[in-house]
Amino acid sequence: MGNYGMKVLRVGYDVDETNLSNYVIHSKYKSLKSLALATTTDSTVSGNDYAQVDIAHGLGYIPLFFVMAELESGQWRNIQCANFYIPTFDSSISYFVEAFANATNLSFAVGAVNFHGSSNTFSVNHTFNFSYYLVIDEIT
Amino acid sequence: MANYGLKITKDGEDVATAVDKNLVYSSKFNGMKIAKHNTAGIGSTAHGIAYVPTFLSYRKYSGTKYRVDSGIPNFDGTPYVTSTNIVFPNADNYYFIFLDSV
Repeated sequence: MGNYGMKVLRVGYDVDETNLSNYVIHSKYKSLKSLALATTTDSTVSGNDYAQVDIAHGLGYIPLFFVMAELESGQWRNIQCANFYIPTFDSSISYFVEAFANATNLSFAVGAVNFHGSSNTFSVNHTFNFSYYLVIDEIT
Repeated sequence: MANYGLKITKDGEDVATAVDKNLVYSSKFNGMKIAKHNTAGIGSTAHGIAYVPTFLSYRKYSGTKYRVDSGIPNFDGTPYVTSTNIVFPNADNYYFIFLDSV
């Protein structure tokens, strides 16, 4: 590509800037485009061991996503990788929280975990809050 | 949204026919706007945004290797945000805070 296209820089930088991180838009490179920034909930039911909520994205391919969860009141954590924890509202067992996507849905799941082999179930009903950034750009 | 606004395609693609995922830029879609990025040690850092912002962080765990903290085996070791602070339970972090709220 020749030295043409559209370039937008941060305030204080000139268009001959060589550090690409100072460009707000550079038409040589793709920017992440957000399809949705939204929240959802997933509720556990006492006696069950798994709860999943699916958000249909309608893209037909697997999109890039960023996800956060309010694991404790007022504290939001990334769940790009699964989180294992013992919540303050149900300290009897461990929980896992994760998010995953396919060509149809972005999904959030909460499960009861036992590291010692016997089965576990949720002992309380609880609603988890999630926030997600769904990006037009695809993983595959 | 009607078909107007600013669209940029990759070199060699027609802006009239390119599908959204192949656009370099489109004003039809919001972008993630970085409010702040910096290094941080253990503890709380005020982010200065009056709501709970989205964030990404990476922790140096060996030499020059950085990774997203997974919350395995325990979520207590993972960073989090509140409406006032970003909090790191471990040292050697690099973080991005976005203007967009959760």
